[in-house]
Amino acid sequence: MAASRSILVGLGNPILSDDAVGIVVARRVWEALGNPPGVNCVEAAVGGIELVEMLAGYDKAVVVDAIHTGTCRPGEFSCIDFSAICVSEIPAMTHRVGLAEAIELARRLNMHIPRTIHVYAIEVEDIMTFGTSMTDSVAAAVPAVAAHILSAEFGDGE
Amino acid sequence: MLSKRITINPVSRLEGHGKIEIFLDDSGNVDRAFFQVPELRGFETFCLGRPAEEMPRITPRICGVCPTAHHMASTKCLDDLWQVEPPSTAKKLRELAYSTFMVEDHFLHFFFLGGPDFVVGPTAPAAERNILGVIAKVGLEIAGQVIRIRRECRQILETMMGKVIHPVFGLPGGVSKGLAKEDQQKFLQTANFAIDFAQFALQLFDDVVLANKEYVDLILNDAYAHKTYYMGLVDENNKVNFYDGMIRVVDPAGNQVARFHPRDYTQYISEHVEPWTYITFPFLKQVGWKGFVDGPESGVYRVAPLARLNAADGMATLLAQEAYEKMFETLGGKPAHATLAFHWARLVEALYAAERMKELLEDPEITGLHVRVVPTEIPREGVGVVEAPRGTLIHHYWTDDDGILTRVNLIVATNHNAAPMAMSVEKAAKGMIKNGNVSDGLLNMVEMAFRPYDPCHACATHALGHAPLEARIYDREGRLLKTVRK
Repeated sequence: MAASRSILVGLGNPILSDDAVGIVVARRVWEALGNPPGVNCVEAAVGGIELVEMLAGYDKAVVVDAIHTGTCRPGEFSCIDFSAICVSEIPAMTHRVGLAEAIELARRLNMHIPRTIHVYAIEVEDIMTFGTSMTDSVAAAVPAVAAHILSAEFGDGE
Repeated sequence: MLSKRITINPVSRLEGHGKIEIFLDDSGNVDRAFFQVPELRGFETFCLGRPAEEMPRITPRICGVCPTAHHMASTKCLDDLWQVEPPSTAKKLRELAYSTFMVEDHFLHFFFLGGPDFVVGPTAPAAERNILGVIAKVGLEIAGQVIRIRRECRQILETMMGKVIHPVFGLPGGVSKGLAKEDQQKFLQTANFAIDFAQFALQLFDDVVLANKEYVDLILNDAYAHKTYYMGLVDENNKVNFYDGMIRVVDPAGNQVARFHPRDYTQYISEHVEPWTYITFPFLKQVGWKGFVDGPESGVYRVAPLARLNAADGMATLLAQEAYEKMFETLGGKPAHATLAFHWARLVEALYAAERMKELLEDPEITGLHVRVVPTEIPREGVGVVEAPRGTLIHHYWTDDDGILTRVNLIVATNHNAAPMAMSVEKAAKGMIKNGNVSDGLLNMVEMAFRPYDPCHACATHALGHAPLEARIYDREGRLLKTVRK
């Protein structure tokens, strides 16, 4: 696993409506990349600590995930540099350990996690209803998000 | 008399937070508290019309933390649905995989999550009350050991089940592949390591927790105790079994009140509905729903590690049995009602699961070639039950003659424990709010009350961030006095 330098992770749950968006976007990026050397792509529907173990051994990680803040329109996205993020408290329940907490935990345990971790967080509308279809506004955003990630993260053979 | 604010605005039922609402009486003391666990919507609708055989692949996606439990309960449900008995080797392989999963999950929870309350201390700052505080106490090497045991367990799971997180292993009537002899020997090394590490963890508990009177007093503190009924799976000797057996229920005094086949659960468990939440509250039918109260007159019961050990007569393996006896002796006998002792019980269970791994791996049948009986009966209705790390997990499917789902019912551990969790929150809130004064430590103490249950707050969703844990305090007239958020 450690042979590749970068890993692209589509994170989400494909049967929970908009929670599939991370996986859908990652697939689109991967198809466009055409299986390049030095890059792996995985789809993950795991909790925080399992995800960090998946990232271990890579130099760079690009994670695509849903986010539900209610502060912007569904389909809008942002890039969060998790390389520098830190959290003040790690929850004491497995069900409350998210990606940020797990990365912090791994960092403090001296696990070899990527130097660069970029997380693309796509605002979603519905992540509480079981279903295999995304809402229209989130589905419509997929091409643009994928194109941006392709350019920003893999544009110069990164 | 309760404030009319109790009739919660329907809009609040649609929110997905872990939300606590506290209502004060005229004296400014807690009258009632409500703990809302968010619930995902539409699972049954999603499943209807699908082949039941898809459920061992679908249901692991309900929970991102313990998908293996759903996979196994679903597989057993399909056995029952198609009325097929798996061959002995298949059942042993399933139990081997499941025991491995329990080892991995329990160690993760104790060292990284629940255990820090004890190892570091419950009054330590929240920023220290985590694995980092544990490392500071016991050394970085221990954290490395936990990571190692988890890695080795997950390698076993990947070898046996195809994938760790979403296994392709269980089939109606058996499993998809057997165990090679070379893997058997390799896995035995992991089993032995797991046994040693579980014993180390229990010794750590001894040295750090039991040797500290303050910690012991906290465990035994009435603020964190509920005298409820207890439920868990037991084998033919009434010993704890995670994979199979009968469901046993004991009363708050430890007397057996029910022991039934999983298929008969609807005769013993009913579900109570409250207007302020979508989640239902299972209770014991024969006792009845008496509200959010404990005691022998109330049908509220608990599941999960301590509940399992209370419901059983012991552990089926030698070292775990010794640990079981020591635990109850320290806690003042059986059953133990101290919620914080869930963490201790978790370690006893980890030891049992490790010993069971070894037993199964040393069984010559484990490398047998006959791993599946193909079903031939017409499907109708099936029930599958396992003990998930956090409690009894029930899968119940109904199908047409072609095996297409017509109805689905799942009762997960968070369901079973919903009423006890609500009670724990209320009890903690009553201890923290006096005469209108809300202590700054409110959320920490309240969280400590339900953390041992490790409730599933819609963890099927993997969206970034978590809705904050929020407590809202209202006066007698329903006016919002204060919001505390974490």
